[in-house]
Amino acid sequence: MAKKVVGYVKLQIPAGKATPAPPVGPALGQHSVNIMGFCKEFNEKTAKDAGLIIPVIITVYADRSFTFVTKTPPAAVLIKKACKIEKGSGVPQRDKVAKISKEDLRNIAEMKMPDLNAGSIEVAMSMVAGTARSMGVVVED
Amino acid sequence: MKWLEVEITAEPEWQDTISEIFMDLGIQGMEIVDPEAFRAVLEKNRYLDYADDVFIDSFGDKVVVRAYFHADYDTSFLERQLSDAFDMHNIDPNPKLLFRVRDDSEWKDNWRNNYKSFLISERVIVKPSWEACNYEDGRVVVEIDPVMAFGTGTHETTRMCAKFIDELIKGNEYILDLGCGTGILGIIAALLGAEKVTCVDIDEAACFTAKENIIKNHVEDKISVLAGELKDVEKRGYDIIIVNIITDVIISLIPELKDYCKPGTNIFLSGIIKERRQEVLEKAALHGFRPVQELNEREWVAIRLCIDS
Repeated sequence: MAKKVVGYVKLQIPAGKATPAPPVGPALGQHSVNIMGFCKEFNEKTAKDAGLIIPVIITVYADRSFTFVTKTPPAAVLIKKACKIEKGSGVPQRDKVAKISKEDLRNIAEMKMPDLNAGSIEVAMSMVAGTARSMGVVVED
Repeated sequence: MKWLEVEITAEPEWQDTISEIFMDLGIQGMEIVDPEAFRAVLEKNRYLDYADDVFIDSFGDKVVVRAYFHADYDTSFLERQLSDAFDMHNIDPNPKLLFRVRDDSEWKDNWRNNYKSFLISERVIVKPSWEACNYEDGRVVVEIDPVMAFGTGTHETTRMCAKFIDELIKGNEYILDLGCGTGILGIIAALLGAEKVTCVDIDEAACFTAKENIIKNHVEDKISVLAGELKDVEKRGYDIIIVNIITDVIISLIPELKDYCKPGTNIFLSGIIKERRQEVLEKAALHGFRPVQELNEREWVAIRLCIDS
């Protein structure tokens, strides 16, 4: 069927815990999409990633039906999880809040590969390392 | 219930930083208007989706992040917290901030309000599950909720197929529905008396929704659903083949359709944009199909083909 797109919505929400409250409600409601229908499906598909914040892009069609794709969590979220910290440094150049091992960096880079514009795992790793440094997380050699 | 909506507009490279700032304030969920990501999705699905240029241009080039706080949150305190965070992360130029109070009545029931029962063709009414059914005069009622798949029947391409089905089904036909979406067309065919319907879609989510709708409409003994392509379908002569997809896919399928035809098979092609009508007709003629009927609605054409014997 020819699918005419009338709306894109990107949300960043906790895996397995979407509810019709904001931001889901207003973002989908403005396109007259079935909010509960989305929540049900999203929660089912992301239950295994509980505890992570997941970006999801919803495509809304002319007849108000929709599909969505989930992306990998933002690098910063994965770094905080790996380092077991709540937040990054307010002054990353001066105050360091944690250290991350090469191995954790590689795991995160591998996970993020599908969504990163990186030709190789090394490039992906240096992108993740950049994010880590901007949060005041020291990358171990 | 009321909420305080905070909207930050900034250059795209600051997207992650801004979402970090919100998360540091204890906000877990946010909406992000991400022009780059939207263009990438549209590009990736260019054979399945299309959009008006006006809509694509409306993304702009800035990133917008919206987060929601309790309505009684102190706005000026929040404004200070945010501008301190912008300074700390050296966000330059400074993002634009907008505060609005929103009420959930603005969005809660929008989708239901927009979806009501309607007459899709002469003999068939489509209705959402939450509407009571009190239609007299022996019309067939199909229950479809717009959930995860395309095909609520409100789109021209689906409606024209429904009209073809309504006109042609007399009873006991074998039907093949390619690109079934919600299964709406197959269900209509079954309810009008078709003997067996094979619904096919490459999208597994669509197949799942189709199965649910088939059960809801009590036609599971007549319809089977197959997640896959035409080549996965058992080759046999069908009475009616419905191909409601898009022009490029239709053109690519035409050469293969012959294996599923018998003398007298009717093929409905829909999802064809007017400008490409001729292209489809030429391809059909090349493979021994003859146009016998055409329907038009807005920019769409639906063509009924028969096979030359």
